[in-house]
Amino acid sequence: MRTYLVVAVLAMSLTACGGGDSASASDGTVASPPPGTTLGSRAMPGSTITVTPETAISAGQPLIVLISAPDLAPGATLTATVGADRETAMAAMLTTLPANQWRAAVTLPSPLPVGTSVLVTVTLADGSVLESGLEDFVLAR
Amino acid sequence: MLRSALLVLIAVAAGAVETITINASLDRHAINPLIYGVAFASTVQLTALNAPSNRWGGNTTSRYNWKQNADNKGSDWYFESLDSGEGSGQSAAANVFIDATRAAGAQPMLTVPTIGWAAKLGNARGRLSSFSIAKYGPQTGSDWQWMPDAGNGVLSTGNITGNDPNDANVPVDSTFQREWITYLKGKYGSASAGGLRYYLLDNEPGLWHETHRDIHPVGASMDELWTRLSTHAAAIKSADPGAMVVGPEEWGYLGLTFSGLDAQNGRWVGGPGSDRAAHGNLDCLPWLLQQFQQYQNANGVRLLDVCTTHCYPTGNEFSNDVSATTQALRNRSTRALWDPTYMDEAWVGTQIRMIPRLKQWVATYYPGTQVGITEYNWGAENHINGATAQADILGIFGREGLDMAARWTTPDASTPTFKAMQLYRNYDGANAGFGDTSLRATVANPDNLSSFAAVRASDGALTVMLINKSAAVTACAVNLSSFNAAAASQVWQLTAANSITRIADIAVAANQANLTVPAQSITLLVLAAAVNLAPTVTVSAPATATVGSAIALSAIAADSDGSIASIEFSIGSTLLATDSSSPYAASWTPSVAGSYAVTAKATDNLGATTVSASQTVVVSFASTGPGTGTGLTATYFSGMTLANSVVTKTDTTVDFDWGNGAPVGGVGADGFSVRWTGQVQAQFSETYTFTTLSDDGVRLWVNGQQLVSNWTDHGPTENSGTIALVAGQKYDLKLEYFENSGGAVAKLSWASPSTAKQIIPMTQLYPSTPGALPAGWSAQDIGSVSAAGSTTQDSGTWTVTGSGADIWGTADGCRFVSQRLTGDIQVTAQVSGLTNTNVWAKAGVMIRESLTAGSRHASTFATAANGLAYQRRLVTDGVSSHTAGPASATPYWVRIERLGNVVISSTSPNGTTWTEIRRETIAMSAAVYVGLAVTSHNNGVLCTATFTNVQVVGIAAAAN
Repeated sequence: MRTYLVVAVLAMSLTACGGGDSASASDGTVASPPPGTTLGSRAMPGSTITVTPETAISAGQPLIVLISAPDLAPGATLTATVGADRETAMAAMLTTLPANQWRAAVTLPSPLPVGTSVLVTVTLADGSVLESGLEDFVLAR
Repeated sequence: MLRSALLVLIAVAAGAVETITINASLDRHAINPLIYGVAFASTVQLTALNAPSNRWGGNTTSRYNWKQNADNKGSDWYFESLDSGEGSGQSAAANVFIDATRAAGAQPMLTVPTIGWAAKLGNARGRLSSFSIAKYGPQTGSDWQWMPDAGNGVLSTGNITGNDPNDANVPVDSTFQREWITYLKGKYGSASAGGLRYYLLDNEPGLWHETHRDIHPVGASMDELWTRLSTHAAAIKSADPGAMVVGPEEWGYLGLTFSGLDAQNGRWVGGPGSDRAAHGNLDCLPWLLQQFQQYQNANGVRLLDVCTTHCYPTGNEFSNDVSATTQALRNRSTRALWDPTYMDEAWVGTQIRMIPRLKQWVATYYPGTQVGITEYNWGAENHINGATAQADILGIFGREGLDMAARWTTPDASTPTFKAMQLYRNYDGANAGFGDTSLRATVANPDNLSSFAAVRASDGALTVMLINKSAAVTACAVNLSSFNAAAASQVWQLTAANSITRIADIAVAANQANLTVPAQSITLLVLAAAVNLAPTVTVSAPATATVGSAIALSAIAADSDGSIASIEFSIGSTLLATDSSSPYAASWTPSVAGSYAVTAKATDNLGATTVSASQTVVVSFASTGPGTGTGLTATYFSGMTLANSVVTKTDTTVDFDWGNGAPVGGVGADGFSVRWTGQVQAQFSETYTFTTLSDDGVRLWVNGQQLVSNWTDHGPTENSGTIALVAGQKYDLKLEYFENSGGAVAKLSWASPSTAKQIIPMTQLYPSTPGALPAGWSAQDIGSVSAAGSTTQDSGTWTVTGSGADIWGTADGCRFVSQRLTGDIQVTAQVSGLTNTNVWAKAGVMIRESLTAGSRHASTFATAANGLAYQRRLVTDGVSSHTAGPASATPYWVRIERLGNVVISSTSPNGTTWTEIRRETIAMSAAVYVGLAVTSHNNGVLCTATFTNVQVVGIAAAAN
């Protein structure tokens, strides 16, 4: 196989590659919990979802949250969005961790609107969809 | 001449007609113009090619020292560090390149070194060598002409090892390169303000241990690559956040699958101890993409915008060899760019399918990343065979959805290959080119004749590239569908004669163009879009209609030069229905009286539309004759608190002026109260105003909605409230009254647009039966329940008991009390209480398609201990879904609505302030069951729920 590389290198060399502001709203300061403080837990059919920030909640800054749903049956998939309503919420980047945990990352809007929350959607193996509520995991009150 | 013509005839006669099928409605996607990029082109070349981008890259750029304006070509030229020319100013050579590129309106694509060393110069900007013969001894080659002391790094015993990289280089890091980006941003502006937009991360790092072995003798590992890529990408993004980072610029397929370290150690198959094995046995590029994704997850910053590789053919194609064997190989091997069945015919020996492979990798490991091939060259630039290969490649790039490409380098303007590129970008000298939206084009055998098609946004023309790779003149039949072409097509052609020529137009008839293309030629057809005549359409509708009754709408449409694709019926500006087959018809059931404009919009097969003249439909309320009522149930209480009942009887109307007397025997003239209950039946589908005249306190509910509230001592006083009612439908009514002292008056009137204000007549009032359900309601258990449920209603309080495993999954078990309604619907209730037979015991309002266990439904529930939720089953016998609402306990208000096909779930703590949980489109039958549902979530055990303030709005459906 070494020969292949030599051939390749030779071919190449002939001519080719010769070369955070504090969160605020228009009507005042927004209250946000500190990192490590659970945003909340919500019982859903078949599981309870808990969301915990791992970074400070700050307008315009990246936010990372840990999402856990320990009782979920195998085969479930999860997505997370962040916003004050479902229609305009931004998708978070998701990393799957062991034991039914996920890490979601998103850059928060600036300013951070009151009522912004983490919205978690679980799709079970049979196709059932479970959605957390707008009041379950609130980032800014 | 005669002999030539004869040969052509023979050739044509010998070959079958090639059929090229173009479908303008399939596989449509935008072609990124950046696929037509080149490298190191002059302003003149860029202009002639109308090229979008120009790359500054290659081995020379890996060690470009922007501060000294010096570079080192590595093994390409005796590892010498040289003056890059254009003067001694900072970034001088790069600046000249950038200026020349921008002068042609193209985007510079600049390589940013990541290798960690930069070239340095000697005295008076003199050359320096990494392998000095004086220092390291005689070598097998030297730069005898320009720098005799510069050796090739090869002793008679093998490569020199352990040389000092500082001999001709200086170490640099990402800070050094960040300063360059900052300098360029200062000179040309930021990327978002018209400055440099694309930065490429070095060049072919998997070969550094060969091409730059004087400074990087050990193959780059995956960890080293990630560190260099991430730190330099972050430096670029921090210097100019709007810039796009392009990389990793690897050398080819094997460079994407194995790191330089594994390559150097001959570990092409991985295995224990290999770099690949240490990284989860992932291919090198996927592993790198995974790191980029994880970085973005952790930091919220995308470091890589375009995932790129270089891609060369692996046989002898990348040469000037034009032997028959190599020409045939060149014709075939472009398949390596896309074809999953094409096995590399040289030393790679696998299916490369480079573009789909790249797209699949980024979709899996770093979604949202663009893909590019920033070096490629299929050789034979000065031969028509190289030109057909080049044209084939550009067509493939567009069809396969590549986002960026740059040819290495730029062919001379005199070559057929250059002209093949011009056919795509500037065939007429006025920058007319191939289309920008790719379409499906199919051929029998792309090794002989390939074809690509695209429509051009600027003029709507269809452009079709026919690339005849074979040595035979070929008859072609180009079949068109979903494109209405003009009667003639322009024909632009490049042959071995080496000029782009516009030849005579060809006819297009019956969606087909026939032509004969020369051997080894590239032909571009430019088919203008024919003028499409708009369709005609008229709509018919009855002049009058009644609320709640369906009417038929119809349309007649025709298209003189095509066919009708669809008819859209609209009521005012609201789309009612779409019909795509004749006879065109729709049904409309108006729900509100008024005058409406009905129109039909016809769309033809090519998208032209015509809206019909409108037809006016006057919708009036339906009316019924007088009812058969006998009055309301009246309960008279001693005292003003409606607590101690004395007499219950039927009052034919509520029209009392008792003066200072007693209302009934057993009740005093002062200090009494009365509750009237039953139902009221409207005669017209209208909004009614209910008016009370009372002395003293009074309050009134109709259909669970409180219309009057004046629970005070007062003289004779009128109070009013309004509610929309449907003719013939009965609604719960409750009127409460108390008298303190003095005169006593209690009267109940109504009025509507069709009804003068009057005491509500007896015929429209119906007494209540304690515990019985109001007319129109029925109750039953749904699905498998082990304990029968029950339902009672008394004075507006509903008590529902239900068993069942759950309202969830694919089948429900519950108690359901409902009406059958049609049209737009709203049902509201306050869940006042719910026994906790399970934390998921539920009570709420439901719209349900049928009474089977697996019926579609949409519901808003209060649960015993898990708050409120919107739950639904979108498909009959399908699974259920759940959206959490407030995490509140009962008492709480719940509501479910249907507007058209849109269902809205809401909750309220007080019946006044409502919060939407969710809305979504659910297709249920027009007639549905609407009411209250209860499940114990504990089959065999009964859960008791109480509902108050139950309000239902909708039109009663016909019996099923």
